[in-house]
Amino acid sequence: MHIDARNLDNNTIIEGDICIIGAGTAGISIALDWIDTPYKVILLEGGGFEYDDRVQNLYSGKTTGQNYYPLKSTRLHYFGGTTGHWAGMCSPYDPIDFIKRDWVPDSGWPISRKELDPFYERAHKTLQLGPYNYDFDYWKSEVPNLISFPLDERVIWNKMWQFSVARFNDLYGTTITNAKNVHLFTYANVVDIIANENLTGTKEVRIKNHAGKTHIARAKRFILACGAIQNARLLLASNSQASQGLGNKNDLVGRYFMEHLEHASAELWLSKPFPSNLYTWSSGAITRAELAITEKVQTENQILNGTVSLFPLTVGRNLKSEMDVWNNEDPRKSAEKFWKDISDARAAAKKIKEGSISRAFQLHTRIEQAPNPKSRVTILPEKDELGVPKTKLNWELTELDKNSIRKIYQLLGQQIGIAGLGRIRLNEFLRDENDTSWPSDLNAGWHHMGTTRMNDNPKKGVVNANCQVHGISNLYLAGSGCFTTSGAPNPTLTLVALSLRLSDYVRGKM
Amino acid sequence: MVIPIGFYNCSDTKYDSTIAKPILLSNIWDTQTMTEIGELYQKQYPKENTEKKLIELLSKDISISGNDIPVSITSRIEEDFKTDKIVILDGWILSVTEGRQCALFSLIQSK
Repeated sequence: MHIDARNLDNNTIIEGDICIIGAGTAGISIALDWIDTPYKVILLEGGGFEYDDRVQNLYSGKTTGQNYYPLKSTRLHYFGGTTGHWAGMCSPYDPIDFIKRDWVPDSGWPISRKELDPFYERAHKTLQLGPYNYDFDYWKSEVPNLISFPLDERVIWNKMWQFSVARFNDLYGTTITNAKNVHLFTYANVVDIIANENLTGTKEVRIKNHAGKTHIARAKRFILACGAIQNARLLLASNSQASQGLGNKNDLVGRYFMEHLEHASAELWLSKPFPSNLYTWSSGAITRAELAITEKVQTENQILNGTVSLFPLTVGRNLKSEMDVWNNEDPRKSAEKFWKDISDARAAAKKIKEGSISRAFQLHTRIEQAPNPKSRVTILPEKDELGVPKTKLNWELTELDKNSIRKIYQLLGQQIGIAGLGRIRLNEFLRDENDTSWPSDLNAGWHHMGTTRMNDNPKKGVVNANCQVHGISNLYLAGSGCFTTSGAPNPTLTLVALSLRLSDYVRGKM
Repeated sequence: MVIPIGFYNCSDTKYDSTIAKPILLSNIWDTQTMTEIGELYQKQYPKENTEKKLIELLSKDISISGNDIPVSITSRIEEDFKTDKIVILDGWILSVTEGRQCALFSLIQSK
């Protein structure tokens, strides 16, 4: 069932069993899981079914610290969320990502990879991926010409990826609107969460839209699924009863913002051609690998978890930095510039037909960011059109982040050398071991994580292992904001898995 | 690319210049790059900055003339990488042996 909240009478009270706030990847994944249950599900989406710049503008904010994309442009604010233009890259987090690592401050999830495995499998269906199998040998037998570099498997391994083409708007719009027990309200922006008197439970949420309407939604349980930045913002902005915001007794909401550092960091020059489809991506590909460092070697070297992907150097050298291209507030315009840059680089590369550069690759880092309490989301005095304080993001990196990137390439360079495959050349920013600075055009993956981190100790996390906000019995958070550490892979598969786990837990509570 | 190969005299030592040819790198770089990397090595390791010293270091434990030079050098390069005898020159992650080969190459080029 679909209702446009702009057409409701002002001050309508919406009631249900469960209220999911946000119809993006996490919110829709949960809502799908509740179809045909005896429960009335309220699904609140701030936008409609298409891009609306006035709604998108609600994501505007300021950034400080390490240079970052315009906040308005980094998420899509309509039904389906950022699956509207995502690249579909999926791979699970590794077991090491979930454990406490002595050399990574504030690491350690209260759940293990093994506990998440059944939900990863279910998430594969939601995202319409292939089998939940990321073993290189499996894919080698399924797809021709996946030939691995002959590297020491005790040091480097092939981390496999799958690609989803699921755009939740097209894929699930009809399913959701046809579901009898799911009541989707579009243009229903939650602007405030109202708790009970002693702040131990959520009573209702206040909804507003640009039509000037205000409504109230009440439910037994609430799941906030607006994305890592917006979830934190809404908790911080819900400060009429607690000055520091809801769920923020320990000043943790918004802290530990993490991104994936995705940057061209080195070059691989092969001494002779290595015909393989394993490491490169082409349209229609269902899998590929990135070179990853084994858990043992990460531990020995005390580095973060990261991978290296290959991109033809003839194209890579003609590409501008994404941070310099994705600089328009309007995500459509930034995306247009992004694709044009790739297209221009490919055209320029076609002119280079011979020489050793034709068998050279740009090496792209994809690495977790070390949890850092100074890297944080806060709210500004300035408010958006619906009266919600705007976001400020201070993105801050640490020496561990940079040292880890450098070490990954030193290890890879060593292994490539042993194998006699070719040689690695570090990019300028990694050459001086004493240089802890970052290039201003350092790229990030448009991945927001960690702002409402998971930890069973309320002094160390905003939510517990079940994604319930500490101290508020019926308020749950879905999405990558709950990630304790950010892993190397893109977060969507993991956030869907975690959302399905949350869905099961909440249903068990009904 | 063409890298000159022949016999050179260095003081009282006659040596096969194959020893100054990093085989793998010659598939990647042109002569100019190899010379520049060799000069960088000389700057970074001034104590090795003579033909004599470089030949001494490169020919240690191997015959400096004969067909086995490329095999021996390739094997030593692999061993360098395994044992962390690595240098970084202009961002290139190279074995120490390769660095020395480039340095010797650049000295020969400057003659």
